[in-house]
Amino acid sequence: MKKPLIYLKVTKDLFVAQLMWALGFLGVMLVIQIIKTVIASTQGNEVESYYHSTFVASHIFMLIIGMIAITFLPYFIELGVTRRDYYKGTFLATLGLSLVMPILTTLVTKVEQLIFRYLAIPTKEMAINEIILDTERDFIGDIVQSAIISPFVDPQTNPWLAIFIFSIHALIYYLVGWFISASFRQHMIVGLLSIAVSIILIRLEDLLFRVSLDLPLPSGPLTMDFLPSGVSGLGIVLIIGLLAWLIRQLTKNMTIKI
Amino acid sequence: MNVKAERLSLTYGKHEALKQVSFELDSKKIYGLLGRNGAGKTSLLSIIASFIKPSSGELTINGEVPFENADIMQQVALLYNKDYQDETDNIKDMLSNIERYRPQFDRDYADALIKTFKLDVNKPISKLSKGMQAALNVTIGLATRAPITIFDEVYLGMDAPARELFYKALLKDQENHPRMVILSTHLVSEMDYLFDDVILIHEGNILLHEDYHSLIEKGVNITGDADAVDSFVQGKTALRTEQLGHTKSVMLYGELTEAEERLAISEGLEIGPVALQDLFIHLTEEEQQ
Repeated sequence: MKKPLIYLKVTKDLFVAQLMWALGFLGVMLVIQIIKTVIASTQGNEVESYYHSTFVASHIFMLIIGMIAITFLPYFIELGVTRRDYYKGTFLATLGLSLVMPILTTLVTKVEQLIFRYLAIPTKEMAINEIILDTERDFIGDIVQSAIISPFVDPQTNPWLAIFIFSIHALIYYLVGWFISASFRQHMIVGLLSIAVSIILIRLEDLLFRVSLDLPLPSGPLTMDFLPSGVSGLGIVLIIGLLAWLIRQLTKNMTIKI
Repeated sequence: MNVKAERLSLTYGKHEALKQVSFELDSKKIYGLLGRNGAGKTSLLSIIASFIKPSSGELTINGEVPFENADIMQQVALLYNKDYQDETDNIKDMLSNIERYRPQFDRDYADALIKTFKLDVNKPISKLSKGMQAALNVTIGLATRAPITIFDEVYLGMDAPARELFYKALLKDQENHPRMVILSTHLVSEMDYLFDDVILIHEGNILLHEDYHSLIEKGVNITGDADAVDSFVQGKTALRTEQLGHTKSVMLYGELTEAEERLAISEGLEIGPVALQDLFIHLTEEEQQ
């Protein structure tokens, strides 16, 4: 009988563990959403969708669990698993999670929309993609915006594209968290550098998404409005590839201190 | 299994933890790895378990470099005094996870050891006492049945009766399932009877690697009348001297010839064995000087 591949065991274990955390996160977001809906409807205000609230918060969630990912490395090495299998397993588990989370979020949002329609609760139009045009340009402001109001597609208009965008964002934020924590394991200076690199990559990804989705772009030197949308899509793939490559370089010979 | 080190070095910045050490282990024996604090024991064991890459030289297991070698890494288990303060899993879940990754893991044996050490399987591991956590490490190490099983000062925190249970379980399991066991310790006096071979490491160098009995025979205790003892030990390497009234006892390093043994007996002196601990102290002190 053929032995099951070790990295697939790692994939399964990490996927299940992280999915449990994600379900906890989505559950908390759902409770918040219900409370928000009750308050808004009693005051006669519009309610923003579950997808929108979760989309924004998921960046921070994925960043945090990405940071935790490095703590699994000593655990697996102690079990006789190679760094290569840990890396492959973690990456595949993250791909799975990045796909499942938006699907669940979109499904809950669909149910929510049906309930809203039945109860005649007005929903707020999503306009976060426009915000960038109203903001004064400054670097720190851009970073915060990139984390909180990334380019967004409403699942009401195009659910598949909404899931896809959410997935890519989730994956990138996870990889950024993993990259930063792996860098700090090497050296504090490397860790600090990794934060700077991550900020640039997230900002770049934000701009590339805006180009590829044909969303409003900020003016200034970083506008990139000259890029065709196909090229910008490739740019996003390259950012994911670069993060994945950097993480592998940082972890492939990583020391386990005892 | 065969573990072979050739001019193996490990440096942390300017500190040389291992200095071109060479040795070979090739039997299903219990090896005692002795050394003082900071001697390089953990560094050496970390390389064998692929926790760290050597700075230079080569370590091979069955002729292959173990680092990032999936087949070899599965055959090696290193258990140490691990900090479990963030471990929210309970013992039951932890053992189930280990079982998935360790091909030789014996769950029934693990459960039996848990009963022996009276461990609570449902409590989060972080809530267990230090001694209980150490007993868990011992349980994992024994039940994993890895062909190369390494215990690096794993007993820390265990009380004397629990340590005794560990030693008994180790000897019994070694009899039923022989494998290469490396015990790193400085509790020499308590554990010496477990060792088949002794490896002494000091300041990053291997001082000796010998069969336990041959090593013990290198030291003798001469006891008797103080004057007779003094004249007998003259010119020999004395490790320790004790005197009570007119009776003196001197520990010598170096085997006695048959003629010397006969002379000692004829002088009315008693010849006794020395403890490994005394040899360990002497040899590492001598190097220090």
